[in-house]
Amino acid sequence: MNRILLLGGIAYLFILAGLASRNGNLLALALPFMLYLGVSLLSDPGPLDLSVERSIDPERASANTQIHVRVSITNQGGHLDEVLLEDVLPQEFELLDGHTNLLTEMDPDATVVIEYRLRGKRGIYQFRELHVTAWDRLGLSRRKRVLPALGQVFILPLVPRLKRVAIRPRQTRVYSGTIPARQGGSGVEFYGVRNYQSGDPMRQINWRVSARHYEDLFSNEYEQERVADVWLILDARSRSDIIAARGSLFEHGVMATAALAQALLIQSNRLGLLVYGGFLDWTYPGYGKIQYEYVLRSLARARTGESMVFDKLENLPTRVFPISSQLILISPLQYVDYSILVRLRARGYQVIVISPDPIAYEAAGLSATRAGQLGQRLARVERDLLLRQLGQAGVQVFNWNVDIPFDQAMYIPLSRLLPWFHSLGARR
Amino acid sequence: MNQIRSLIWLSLVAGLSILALGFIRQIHWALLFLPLVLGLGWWLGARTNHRWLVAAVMLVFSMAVVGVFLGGFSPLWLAFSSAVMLIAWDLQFFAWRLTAAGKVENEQQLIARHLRRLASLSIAGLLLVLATTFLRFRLGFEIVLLLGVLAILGLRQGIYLASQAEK
Repeated sequence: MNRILLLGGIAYLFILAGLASRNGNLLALALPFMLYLGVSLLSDPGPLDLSVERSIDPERASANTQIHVRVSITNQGGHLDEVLLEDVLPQEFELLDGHTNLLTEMDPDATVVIEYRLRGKRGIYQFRELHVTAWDRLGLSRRKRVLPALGQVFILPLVPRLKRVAIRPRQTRVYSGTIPARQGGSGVEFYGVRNYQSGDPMRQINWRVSARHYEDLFSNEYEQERVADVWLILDARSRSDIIAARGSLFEHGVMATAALAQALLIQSNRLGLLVYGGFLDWTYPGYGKIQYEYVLRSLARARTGESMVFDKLENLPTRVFPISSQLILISPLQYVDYSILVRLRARGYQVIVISPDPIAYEAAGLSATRAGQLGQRLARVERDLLLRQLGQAGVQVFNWNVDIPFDQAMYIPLSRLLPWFHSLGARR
Repeated sequence: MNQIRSLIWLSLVAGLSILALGFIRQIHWALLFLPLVLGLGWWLGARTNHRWLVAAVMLVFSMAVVGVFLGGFSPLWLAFSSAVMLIAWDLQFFAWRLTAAGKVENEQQLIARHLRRLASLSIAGLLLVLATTFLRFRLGFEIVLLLGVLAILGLRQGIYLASQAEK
């Protein structure tokens, strides 16, 4: 109930009862209430004129980093007897210390500061406003105002550091890099032998081969190393995600994507990212640190979603990917994904699948009943079959049990290129 | 904060006891439960942060004061009772404001200043009531009616202005 109305109502009651009974003493009982009301009305805080300044340090942080927020409020109007300043936090934040609201008195030109530390989950968060409520001297009437206090925080995914990601797409770009280009020239790895051409350095002459041929000299050729086009495709379909008590499997996928992006960009490759879920979130291909920042921002805002159109990988817009480029899919995989992955392989794309293991992830939180174990075994057989079939189709699949940190689990598998991979099938 | 809570309960007990005394003096034994119910309602409202309950207690209390007054109980005691209930009501809302804020800057200073204001206002209100009991002058019914209408209109205007300011 509005306090002013209540107080006014009580005063009315005494006045009306006094008038009705023609009793001055009853009228007098209204006086304390009228006095209270009068003083309150006379000390109305007036229009609120405050300025707000927000600083956030750091504005770009990883998930475990503490973020320090400082909101400075200056009173540019008259004296405020009681003023409540409330900073509105996005729900995903965890307040570590300090307070987001403050009750204080403010003199003209006085400045008060609200300071607190918080920690949040991966995402992009906007701080928008500060709520101000000022009361009169007795706290009866109040004035409210919402002041803009803008700020933004990027909470980026954790990025485990991968030493090297060995990829071998069929086609590379013209710039020198670290990817074997299937072309002879200057490089490190032996590629073949060709006839000596004038200008070849003496140390490149292959004397053993030359000795077997009369009047001919042969030079060693090395495999050129260039940069390549790489596309990371992060599966953000809700149906692929497993949400267990310890969190979402999707978060591990995001982390793996960030680690791969970092390693591939350090190797000077041209990298693009597609988050495939409720909608398509593109990060167009680019090089270097700026591209890494774009990728991280895209991953920061990545969320799982559902869509009739993107329910299956069938609608992957393959025309965007350069011919014969390297595709890396980060997905727990569905059985229905098999056909599209094989088709991509048939079109000449080199496909690597990093697959966070959904069965191991879900099984960790389940009780070990006989039926549960049987179900788990059946699911495991089905998944093994899928991975084996993909391997036989020439898709390089890495099954990742997320209990092992990504950098440790993928340190050896991803850093060595296996020339006999295609004949062997999938490695797990 | 404890200091405020003690003051609230002290004021509440004082206000409701005077009301109970009024009922006893007028031999309204059946109505003796009313101050008890009002106290219980207040306690419940304060505990569950139901402000409307505390407001309802104030309204019922005021009606009871009118009833007891018409029964012939001393207006001075009733004025005192109303004033202390007003103090309890004000302090209850003040306590809610303090607890709603995560941090209160210069809390003791803020509390002391509020208590000073409230005390001076209550004393002034009681003095006014006291003055009206000693000052006696005869007014015609028309003038009394006119003053009553003016008081009501003034009060209405004040409430309107306050609610506009709140918006």
